Amino acid sequence: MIYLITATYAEAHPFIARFQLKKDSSHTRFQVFQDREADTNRKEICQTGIRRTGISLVISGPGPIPAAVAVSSICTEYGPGQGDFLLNVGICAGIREQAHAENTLLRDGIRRQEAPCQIGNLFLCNKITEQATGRTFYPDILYRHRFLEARIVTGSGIRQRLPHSASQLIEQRLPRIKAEEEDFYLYDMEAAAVYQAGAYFLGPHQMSFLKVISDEGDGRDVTPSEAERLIDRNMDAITEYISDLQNAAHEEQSADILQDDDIRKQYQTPMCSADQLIDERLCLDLHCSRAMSEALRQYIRYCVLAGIDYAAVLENFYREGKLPCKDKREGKQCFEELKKRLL
Amino acid sequence: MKSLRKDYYNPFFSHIYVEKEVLDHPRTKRILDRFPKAEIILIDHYKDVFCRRGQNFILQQRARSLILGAKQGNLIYKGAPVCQSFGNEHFYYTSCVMNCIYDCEYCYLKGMYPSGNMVVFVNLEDLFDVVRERLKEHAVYLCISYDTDLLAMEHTTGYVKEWIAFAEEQRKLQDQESLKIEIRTKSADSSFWQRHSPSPGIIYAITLSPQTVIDAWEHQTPSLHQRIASAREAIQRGFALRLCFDPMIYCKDWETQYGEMLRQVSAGIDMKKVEDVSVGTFRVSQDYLKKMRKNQPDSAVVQFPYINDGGVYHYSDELTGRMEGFLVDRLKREIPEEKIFLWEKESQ
Repeated sequence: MIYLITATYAEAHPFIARFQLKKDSSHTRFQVFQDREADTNRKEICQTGIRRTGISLVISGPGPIPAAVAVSSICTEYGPGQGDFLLNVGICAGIREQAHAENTLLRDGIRRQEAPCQIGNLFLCNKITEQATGRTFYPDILYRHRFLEARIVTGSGIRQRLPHSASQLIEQRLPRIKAEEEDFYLYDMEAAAVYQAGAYFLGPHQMSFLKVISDEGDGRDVTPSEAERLIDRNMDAITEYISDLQNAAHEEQSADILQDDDIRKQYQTPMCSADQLIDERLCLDLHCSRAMSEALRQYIRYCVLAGIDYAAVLENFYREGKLPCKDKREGKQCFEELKKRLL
Repeated sequence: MKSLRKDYYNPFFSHIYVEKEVLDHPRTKRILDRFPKAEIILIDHYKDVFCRRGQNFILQQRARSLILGAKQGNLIYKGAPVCQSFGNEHFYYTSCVMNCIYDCEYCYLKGMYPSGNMVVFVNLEDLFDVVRERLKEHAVYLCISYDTDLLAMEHTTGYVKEWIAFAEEQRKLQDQESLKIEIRTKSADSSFWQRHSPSPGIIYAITLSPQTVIDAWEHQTPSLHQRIASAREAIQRGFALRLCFDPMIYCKDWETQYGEMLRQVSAGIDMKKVEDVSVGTFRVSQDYLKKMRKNQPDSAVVQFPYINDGGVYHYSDELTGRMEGFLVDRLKREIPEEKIFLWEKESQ
């Protein structure tokens, strides 16, 4: 499942159109849009625990607190798992410090890649700094992508271009906001909050932050239609990324079960039936204590993974009359013999 | 059929996190020069990335990032009880690199570290200073390739070369072999032996496993054939070599597999010229195994029903005795008994 978080409807609209998302009117505090799969997913998780792919989009409203609450709300409802991703997409300011701009490319022989600070450019954020606290977060960048990368600073208000002296004073008080060696960064009002709220539910490899530059951080208003147009022109790249995430998650889930050898191909089902067998029959027949049943489960788990035919061994035990045991003492002796025969 | 799965992941070291403090360090520059296309991300401390909450060790291994930092605090450690000292009184180990480019399912690193990314500490000179201080007090036996495979990383770091130079310097200063360094590896890079000369006081310990064990659980490592060929070249060129049959891993036909491995080893390597051998069955601390089992629920080697004995998981005494006994008996035909080191014997 992909959880998309945008601040405004304008930023969300290209996704609503592209993925044909429908409004879920059961949500009253935030606007939530879902594709059919996501809707089915929610119902099925509640009923059966089975998870599916799909897209669920939440419009949080601008600012860190609404963003954190929206993430928390949707994640609490769905309870995201291993194959799920949280994407924060939106517009941002692109800040280039003129005083240092020329030093960016080459610094003491270390090559730095220039990140073009142009309106409309899309970035994947690899470092997120919260302006208020100076705390920095690092989402994992595990998956291939074709975006530029940059760090982003999250503030609680729209960034204004201040008179030079005032700007200097602020920068001095917040030393981590503008690290002296980094001359270009993005500025938004949600990313750090989305990361921190998301981290309660997901790992750093499951969160991505995609931001399109809309202005230079000079306090200029960005109209809704402008914001929509900026996101929309990057939709192909974003869609491809979302599709790759879904495919990677799908292959990963399959790979957990479908490894190269035949035994692992059939792992899931045998382990489920083994669990059932242990719970319903073996533990009773061996008069297992809690510790003994855990040990028994570990032996059977190993046998399933190693391709050992534990069922045949057990069958022999029943045939030879060693199982079921009449009491705990006999159960212990029988278990010792069973362990030897299994390995 | 070729899997497309890996195509979704970034190549190794596509992202390099660098502590601001070490940005200007010559080793940092040298390593970064090897990855001109990498995205460089500046960080305050390596733990800001390496110790994040909720990381997925296994997924990170698919698209490893590199973290360059400075090691602080305790720089060398007393040898752990589960490790062999080979009769050396002052046994230490150090970690100038954390994590390994290989992917062995049974490796304790999967239970020890919170991240699959690799950390390289660039302040080797601080480590050298600590070793110099220890050497003023007594001889030192130092293992430098426990929490990584330093030789496999040599193209990236050049650290083995630096440790060799340091050992040479100490030998000249001390006028005796008071520093002994062990470099443990599964690497089979024969060019290393061609580029370097043997150095007294440095012993290379090559870990050997049956090919079935390599295929099943030692992912991305060189084959047994390649390791034997590399070991043969090292011996021919006069390098001090230790063969490590440690950890021995149980499988249903382990006798056949380990027997076949020994046959190949004695056919390919002049065993009389081997410095010594170590033998030991798999063992791991309970805390590490707990995490390893959680990270790899479908790995037979970590899901084996080991016995917990004082916080260390291992095979039953009976199985341990049979496996180690088998190997030791066979090895005795090739090599004097005093050259065979058995972990269990030493620890008891």
